[in-house]
Amino acid sequence: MRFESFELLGISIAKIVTLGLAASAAVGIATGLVIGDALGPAKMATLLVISSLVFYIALSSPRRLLDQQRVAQARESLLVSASAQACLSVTGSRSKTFMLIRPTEHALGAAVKEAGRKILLGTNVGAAVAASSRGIASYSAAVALQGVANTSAKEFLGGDEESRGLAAASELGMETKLPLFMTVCFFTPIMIVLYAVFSNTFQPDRLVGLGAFEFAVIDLAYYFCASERNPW
Amino acid sequence: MVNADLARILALKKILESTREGMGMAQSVAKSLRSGEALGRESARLVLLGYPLGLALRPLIESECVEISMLASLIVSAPRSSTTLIGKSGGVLAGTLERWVKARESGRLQLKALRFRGMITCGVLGAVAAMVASLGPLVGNLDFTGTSVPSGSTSLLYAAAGLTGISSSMLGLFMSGRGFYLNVAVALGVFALVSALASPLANVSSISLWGIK
Repeated sequence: MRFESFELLGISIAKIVTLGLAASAAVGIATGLVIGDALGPAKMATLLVISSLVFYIALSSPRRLLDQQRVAQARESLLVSASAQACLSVTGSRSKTFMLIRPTEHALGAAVKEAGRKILLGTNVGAAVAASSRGIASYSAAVALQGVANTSAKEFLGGDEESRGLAAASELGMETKLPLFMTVCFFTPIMIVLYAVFSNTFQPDRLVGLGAFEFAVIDLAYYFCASERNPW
Repeated sequence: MVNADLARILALKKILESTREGMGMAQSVAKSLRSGEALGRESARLVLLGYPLGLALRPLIESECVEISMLASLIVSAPRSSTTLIGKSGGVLAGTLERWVKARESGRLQLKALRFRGMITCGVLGAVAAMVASLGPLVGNLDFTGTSVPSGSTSLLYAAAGLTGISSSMLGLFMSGRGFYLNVAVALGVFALVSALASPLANVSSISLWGIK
C-alpha cells in the first residue's frame, strides 16, 4: 500500500477507507453466515482475519492499478521516444512534436494531450510537460517526455531498462508466491478434513460450512498470489 | 518453427531497415510482408491496392501482441515525420521488442513446466485427502472407552472430494488458466482410486478394547 498511489489516481483516502470497511464488513458477515458453527470457538478470530485481509486488499487496489499502469507506460515510452525523436528531427520544434505524438496508453495519452493544450495556451514547453507528467506512473515515460521537452533529440531507451527491472521484480515475486499458493492449496483441504475427523464434524451442513471456509481461504490466497504479472 | 509473433516482428523490422536505406514506406511494406503469413499478406495486398498505410496495417496495429502493435503504429506514424528517420529510430526499438517477444516465448516454456508441476500437486493432494477421509474416522475413533463409533464417514468422503475439487480447481486456474479442469480431473481421479483402494480398511469394524489386559 502506497499513499502516493491515491494521489496519482485522484482517489480520496477517506473514500477508499470507507469502501474497504464496507467491503470487509460485508465479506465478514457473509462468510460468517455461510460457515455457521462449523469452526466452533475459532469462528470469530477467523472472521476477523478474513475481514482484515479484505480491508487490506481494498486499500491496496490503487497500488496494484498503478503497478499495471506503470508496466504499460514503461513499454509505451519506447514508442514515444522513437516517434518523438523522428518528429523532432523533422520538425525541429518541440511544440509541434508534442502535437504529433499520440501514445495509445490512456494515462500517457492524457498527459501528452494536456501538455499539448497548455502549449497551445502559451505555456512554456518544459513547464507544460513537467506539470502534465506528474500524473505518469512510469519514470521512464516521464523522462522520455521531459527529454523531448528539454533536451535535443537523442536516443532514449529507458523504458527497456524499467521493463526489465519490472520483469525481474515480477519473477522474484512469483518465485515466492507460487510455492506459497501451492502450499495453501495443498494443505488447506487436508487440514480441514483432519479438523472434521478429530472434531467429529460429520453433519452435512457443517461440512458445507467448512467447504465455504476453504473457498474463502484459497480465494484470498489466489488474489494475493495472482497479483504479480510478468510485464513480458 | 519460428513463433508467429516473432516472424511478424522480423518482417516489420525488415521494413524499417529498408526505409532506413532510402526505400519508400509503402514499397517496403509491400515487399517485406508479401511473402509472409496471412495477416502480413493481407496488409501488403491493401497497400498494393492503394489503401493508406493506416488502413492497410490496421490488422497489425490491432494485433493482440503489444510489440507488433507498437512497431506497426510507428510505421504508420512515418507520414507525419520522416520515413528515413523512423527507419533509423525504429531499428533500435525493433531490436528491443524482438527481445521482449523472445523473453515471453521462454516464459511460455516455463509455464508448461509449471502446469505439469500443478498436475502432480493435484494428484498428490487427491491421494492424501482420500487417505485422510477414508482412514481418518477409523483412526480418530480408536479410543479404549468402549463408546460407539459415530457414523458419517461417507459424508466426510464426499466433503473431502468437494474440498479437493475446490482446491485443485483454484490451483489449476492459477497455473493453467482455462485448462484448470485437467487439474480437477487428475485430483478427483486419484481421489476416487485411492478411496476405492482404502475402502476395505475403512470398513473394518472397530472392536472395543475395554477390559482387555
